[in-house]
Amino acid sequence: MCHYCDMWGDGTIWYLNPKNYARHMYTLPKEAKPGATKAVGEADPAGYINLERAMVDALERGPEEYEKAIKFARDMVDMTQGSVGGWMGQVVPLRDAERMAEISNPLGLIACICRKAMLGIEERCPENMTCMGLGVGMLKWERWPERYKGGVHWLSIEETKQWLRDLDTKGFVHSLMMFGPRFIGGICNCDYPACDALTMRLDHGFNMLKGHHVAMVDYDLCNGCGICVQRCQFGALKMNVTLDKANIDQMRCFGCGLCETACPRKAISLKERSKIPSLQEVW
Amino acid sequence: MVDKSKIKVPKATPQDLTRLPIKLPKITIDHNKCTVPFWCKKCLQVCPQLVFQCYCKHLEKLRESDPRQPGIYEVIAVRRDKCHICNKCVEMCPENAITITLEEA
Repeated sequence: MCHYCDMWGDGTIWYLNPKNYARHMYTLPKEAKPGATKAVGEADPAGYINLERAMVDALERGPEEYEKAIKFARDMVDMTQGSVGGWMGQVVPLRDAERMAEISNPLGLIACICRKAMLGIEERCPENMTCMGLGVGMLKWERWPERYKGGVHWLSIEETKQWLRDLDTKGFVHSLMMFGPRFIGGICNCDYPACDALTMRLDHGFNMLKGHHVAMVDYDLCNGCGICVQRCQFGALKMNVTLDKANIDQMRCFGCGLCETACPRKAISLKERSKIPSLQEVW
Repeated sequence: MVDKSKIKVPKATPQDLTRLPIKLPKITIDHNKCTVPFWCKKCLQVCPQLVFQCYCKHLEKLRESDPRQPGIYEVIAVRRDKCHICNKCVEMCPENAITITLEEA
């Protein structure tokens, strides 16, 4: 149970609690205060990029400045997104992503903004339609057409599950995205260097919580085919050459479950993090 | 209402702090020469470490932007800690807008 489960879980895993998908988003736009350039929470085109740039710049000035930059970024994310501790996403395995699709409505796909920014992939490119929107936030497209430029591909629950499975087969990590306090607004399907959220977590240690599971290898079933090794985006899965079996570093495992879905012999299984004492506090 | 001060928030696990401070390459982009970065986007495609990021500078309500219009998009070098100065972007840039320098420590 992560700290969001404590706060918003109501006794269950917080992203399976339907209360966390409900939010009145169709409020009237707030009037900007005189003198203020933007209302708090309003999209700043360079806001997130500037946070990342400030952290990289602080690397040149020493550890204290670097930690200060990270603390500033966490506070900014908390203020604008309503998260706690700067954690505004969490890795979810495929089975939980499918259950999330059953809870919220409407469902749709839009173009990934990270890959647009990092790789220059156009919004209309069909391979780039991986950003899955959940809930009423998807109906907000007419306010910021730039974000929804490639159009919205609306999906039914069954289609959403099929898309998630297809994206999982390709090797994308699923993670939920928070937009505002206690509101889960999307499932991000991305991979390490292109995804800004995953890169922030792996390079600077914030923004994305680990999932509620960790993967374990059954050495009796594993035959060392190595299919799972290329799927791990977090550097947790290596080939144990001595034994010729897959080996998972569970302190690094994020519980995305990509190795589990790829294993042809069902040798990898996901165990609940809360049932393993040494990993309970590793998020 | 939950008291947020009592909730145990996970700690950040940032980069190896004992290595800091480190010297990073300085990447400058002349925005007078680079006016339509998302239409050109050669630097984004060629960089092996995804150092650059391109974003819409003039985000307007109720309106889509045109990437062919000068000054709407802007490309900046964000992940300079990943840059290993292969100079591919400098060679590839049609406007010669990118310069990379590494100062002596």
